[in-house]
Amino acid sequence: MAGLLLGGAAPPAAAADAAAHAAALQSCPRVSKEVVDLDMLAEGLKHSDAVGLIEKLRLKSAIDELVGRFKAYHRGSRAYALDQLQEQYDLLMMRIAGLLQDKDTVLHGRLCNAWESIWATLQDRRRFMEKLS
Amino acid sequence: MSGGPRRGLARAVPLLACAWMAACQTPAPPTQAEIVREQLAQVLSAQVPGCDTVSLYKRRERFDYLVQCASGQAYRLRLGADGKVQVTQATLR
Repeated sequence: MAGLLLGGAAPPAAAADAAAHAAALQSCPRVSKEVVDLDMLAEGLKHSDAVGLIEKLRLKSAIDELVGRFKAYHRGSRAYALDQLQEQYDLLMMRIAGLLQDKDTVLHGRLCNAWESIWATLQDRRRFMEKLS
Repeated sequence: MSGGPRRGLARAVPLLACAWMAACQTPAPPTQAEIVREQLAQVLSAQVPGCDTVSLYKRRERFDYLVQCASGQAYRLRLGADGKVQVTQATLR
């Protein structure tokens, strides 16, 4: 990745992640109704005018794929480590946030507020399996 | 009719061998880097035109990436405190 630098060395990964966590998602818009899991988010997307039909289908497929990887992880597969799954989750959420942010501010606000709680459920085996059953 | 069971077996063996080989050739799951490159391209494509393929990326920290597109353009992609995706052009050096 030589040459792709924006000046200054990046801080050590763990400290940097903590700093980024502190900076990002700290000023989510206040919303009345919360989204609490990926199913509710998918349902919200289904009814949102911000996303076209084809993109909705792609997002649904991407969500299903990610949930499948978490399912495999919680059943013992180590094809992807938990921190890798978190990165995949964050990027999927960033993709959705990018689509919603200027077009559906209510759903975007809900997504922003639910970001960490959805992650907490995905990474917790017991809670994840409860959701599935 | 000639052959009978022996002829049936002779037909079945190559078929079974083909089925076994096909089962063994299930594609490997994509690597983390492949998944991330594809996801970054999807995030970027909604924000800026002309980056359908990501050739390189560097994760600076959670929610913060430097991305180089196959077109040669480079971007910094991050998530703001308000949960909005921010894309800015990056300077290559």
